[in-house]
Amino acid sequence: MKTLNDIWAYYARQAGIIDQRPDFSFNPDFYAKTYPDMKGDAGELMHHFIHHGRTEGRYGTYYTQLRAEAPHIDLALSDLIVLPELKTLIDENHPEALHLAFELIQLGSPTDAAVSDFSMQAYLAWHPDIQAAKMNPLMHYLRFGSVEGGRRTLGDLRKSLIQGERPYRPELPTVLICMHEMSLIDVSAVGRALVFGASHTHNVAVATFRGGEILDQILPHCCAVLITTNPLHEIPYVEDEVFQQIDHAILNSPECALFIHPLVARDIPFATYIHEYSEYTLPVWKAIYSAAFSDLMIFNAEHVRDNWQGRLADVAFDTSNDSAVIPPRSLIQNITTKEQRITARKALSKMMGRDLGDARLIFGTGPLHWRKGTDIFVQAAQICARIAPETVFIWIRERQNRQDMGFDISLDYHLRQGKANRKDSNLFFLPAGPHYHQVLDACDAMFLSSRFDPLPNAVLDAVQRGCRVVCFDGGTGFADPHYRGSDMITSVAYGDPGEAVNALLALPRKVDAVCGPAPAAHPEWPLFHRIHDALQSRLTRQRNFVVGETAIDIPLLFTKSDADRPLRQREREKLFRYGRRLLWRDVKDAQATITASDNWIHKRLLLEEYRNVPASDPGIPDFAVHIHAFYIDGLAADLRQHACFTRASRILVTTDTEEKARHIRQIGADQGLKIETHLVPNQGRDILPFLRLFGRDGLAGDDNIWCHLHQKKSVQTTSHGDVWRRFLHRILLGDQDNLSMAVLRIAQTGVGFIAPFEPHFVPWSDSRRLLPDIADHFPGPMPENPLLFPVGNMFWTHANVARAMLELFGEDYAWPHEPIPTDGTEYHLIERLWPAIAARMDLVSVFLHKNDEERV
Amino acid sequence: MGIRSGRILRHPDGRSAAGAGPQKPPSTSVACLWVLSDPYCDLPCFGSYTFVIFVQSVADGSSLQQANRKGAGVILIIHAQAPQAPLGVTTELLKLADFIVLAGPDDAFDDRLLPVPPGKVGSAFLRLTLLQPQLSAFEVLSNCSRLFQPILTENLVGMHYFQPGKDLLDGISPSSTEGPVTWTSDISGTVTRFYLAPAVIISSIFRPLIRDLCERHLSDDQRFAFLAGAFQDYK
Repeated sequence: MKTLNDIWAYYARQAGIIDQRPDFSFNPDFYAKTYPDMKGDAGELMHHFIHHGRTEGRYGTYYTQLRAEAPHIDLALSDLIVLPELKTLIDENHPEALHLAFELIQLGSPTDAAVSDFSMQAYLAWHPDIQAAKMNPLMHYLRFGSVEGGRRTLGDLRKSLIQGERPYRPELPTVLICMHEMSLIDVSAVGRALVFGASHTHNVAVATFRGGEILDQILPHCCAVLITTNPLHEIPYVEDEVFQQIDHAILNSPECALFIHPLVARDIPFATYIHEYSEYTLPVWKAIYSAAFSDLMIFNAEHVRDNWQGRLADVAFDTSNDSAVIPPRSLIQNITTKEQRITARKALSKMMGRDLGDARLIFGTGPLHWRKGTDIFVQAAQICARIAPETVFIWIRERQNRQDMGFDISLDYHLRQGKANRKDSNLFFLPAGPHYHQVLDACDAMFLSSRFDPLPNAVLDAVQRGCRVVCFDGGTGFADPHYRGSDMITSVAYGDPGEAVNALLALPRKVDAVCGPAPAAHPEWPLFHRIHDALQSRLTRQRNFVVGETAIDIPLLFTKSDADRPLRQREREKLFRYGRRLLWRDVKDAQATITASDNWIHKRLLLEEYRNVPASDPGIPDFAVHIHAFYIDGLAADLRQHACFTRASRILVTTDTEEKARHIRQIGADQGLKIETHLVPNQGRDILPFLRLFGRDGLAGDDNIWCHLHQKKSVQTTSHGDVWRRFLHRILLGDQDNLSMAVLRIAQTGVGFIAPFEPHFVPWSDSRRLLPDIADHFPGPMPENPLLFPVGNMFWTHANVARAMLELFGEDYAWPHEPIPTDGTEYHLIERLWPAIAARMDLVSVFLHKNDEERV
Repeated sequence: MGIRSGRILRHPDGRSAAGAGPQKPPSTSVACLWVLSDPYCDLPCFGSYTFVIFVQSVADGSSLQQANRKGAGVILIIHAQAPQAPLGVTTELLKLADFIVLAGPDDAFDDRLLPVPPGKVGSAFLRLTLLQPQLSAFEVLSNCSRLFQPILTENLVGMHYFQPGKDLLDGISPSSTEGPVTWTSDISGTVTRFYLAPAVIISSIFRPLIRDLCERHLSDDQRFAFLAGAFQDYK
């Protein structure tokens, strides 16, 4: 049996401190730090402690000090220990075993993880507040974290790693398959198929945010499953070899976007398999980061890829080279025999209390939802009840909650009004589960009533059971040309239940299979291998590479800390390798891109370096400043910190209440500034109050040069909001002694607009959908991306430019009211259109860059 | 400035290089791909910067020929160090190599004579943009081994590297060494060209070793010497 000193000696020697600390029960560093009156080397300090300190009541280690203050730590400490010989000593109540345990963990990596379920480094990485407070992680955990709960430790991570039944084999390549969940939804089923397919040729590691019903089905086919909601910070601490040796990865949905961070950090190539439309891939960053960092984007249908075109264009994604369409599986021949069909119909007849022997049976399936078009399915049934009463509709519902205010409550009322689920009805709702295959065998056709539904597995199941399918053009990938060659799928006008009914009634009845399933002549190449091959092919064709740090170094996937600098470099290298954009590499890059563009708007963009203009410069023209101050905190400081306000001929502040207006005037008076205030409704963010100054009875008057600012905060950007506002103000206004060159530049002939250069590459984003509505108002096409615009909506311009912007929509336009979405409204479009409006007037827009000004 | 031939060093930790065996003096009898930058040469010149490549065959043939004989291809890395005039490049280079890597800053190459922009997906011209251009030969090799892994796995190639213009400017005369790893460095230890045989590149220890050497405080000359020692039996 090893003694405490044996254990200590082993690990202290490994840590290289055995000479400094031959005895775990005395820590000379602690002693010297805790008792500044103590001087000498380690030996002298120890001598003092043994012969004097101890009797004086001094502590020799952090443990003894902490233990005296918080005796409860022993329980949590005991629970952490995993080293068997130490655990045994603790269980035997050896008086010094816990002391040793504490001091061993304090040695840090790798000793801490070897002897316990605690990693000092991991605890700090997972709990940034502890790191920020510069607290000792072990002491925090024992004293507070273990009592308060909610503080994840290495032990929790180890419990989250579930071993699979496949051993890790070093001779095989290793793939990581990421799934966002493991429930019984279609996407998870595809994830399961990927794992099954990979298991024949690869070591398979699986990572997911949460477990679920299919976890047990996956375990026999993989080496391990990790359940984590913090993959970037937790995967580095996973000790299982399969997670150390990942060669490539597949993200089985953009919902897995959080796994992008650790993959980019480790330079692991990956493909993202897209089953979802971009509209419901929210928040938007999941879609954007998936497009920006995937080596290959694979879509399950052409229709889905088309749907993503806007998002892909937003990051300058090369669709032809960097994407592919791979359906999860093919349409398979009918395997339902006459006997199976008759048996299934008898069972359903019994269940529903209605003879379905000769009825035309049509089914739909999925959760009750607008997206699934359950209401359209019901309408189709109602139409058929009049014109083809022998037709019976059956919906297999995945879940129903008649108290759900979103949809179910309305549908439930609709069904009761329509007398559904009664013997004399032609519309029935059945719970999902055991009846699913009976319904498929019994039915003649499936009505895919979904408004948008990428490629539901149920359609493949239906065809396999001899059911023809009617779907909506533009509503699903099954309306793609890829499937038009099959006589099993018919598409009709989008969202039209009448047309759907006509198509359903025109379909032939089910043709029974002669016999059961026959072995396929050419078994389908598993989905995993089709994706894997496509990814490898793409990787071997890559020819452009970028190495090094970028001049613009603002955080995207990682933090702006120095420690993350190498990760940021890796992130940029990947981004620019594929020519994708989330930010500019440097000003030169932006300049080159603008110069290379032949778009008429881009031809009128200029990038210039910021410079100060002394506040006393006699060339400064008359100008007015408009501030929209929905929030007024910070206004006083802004006014005080910029000499620009003292040179303004007019300061006009719009706000929404008289109380704020009074306060604003007082702030101005306190600083010797005359501020005009004007009350406006809380509508149109900061920009509508500005534009309305230039409309009928507007307050702009004869002032020609305007600087537009605002105090408004976007909820999404509040953490960086102050830094960003300071960035914009500094470039537009100057500082306490100087004005920005913008004020001189805007007064020059041919210049219509001035704003700060934004280091992020900000695309049309959701405003893209509004472009067709305004396209006719411009002399040339809108560019694929705006490249430069006043991100943040603060700028200098002329009154006639502002007036032209207002006229683009018209003064009587039906402007949207609050609350508005975070993107894609007219206000977001206006922000992007300023250079276009100026260009239409043959004026240039100037963007000022100031490299030393912090942006994030 | 003179040439120092490649030689096998001991590992900086004191261990002998993996598989090193008895140390052999480097031979100068084997030809290698050689690059001249000579404005008065009669051979074809390309672009604004006179740029000539030819193969000098001596003794038992050039490494290019060796590679071809074994059915292996060639990846040629042209590393343009800033600042200098943009280099002209041409499709003629493809007669000498299967892949041409243009490594250097944004504006290092004048690629107007190429049929496709370098870096185009699937083409023979790779573009390695160096945002911090002052990388050494070994650092470029390290990045190439990391970034080109799929290409190097898919294609059996020998790797040639050179810094155009360096030789004449520095008054260096041609030299070569024998073996799967050869390199040329000037007296300061700056490597200006190297060659790695296909067997080296496909070795499972190639990437880890490159990565490990790159992280150590060594001159490029020392790194290549260690590499040569590690792979001297890889013919």
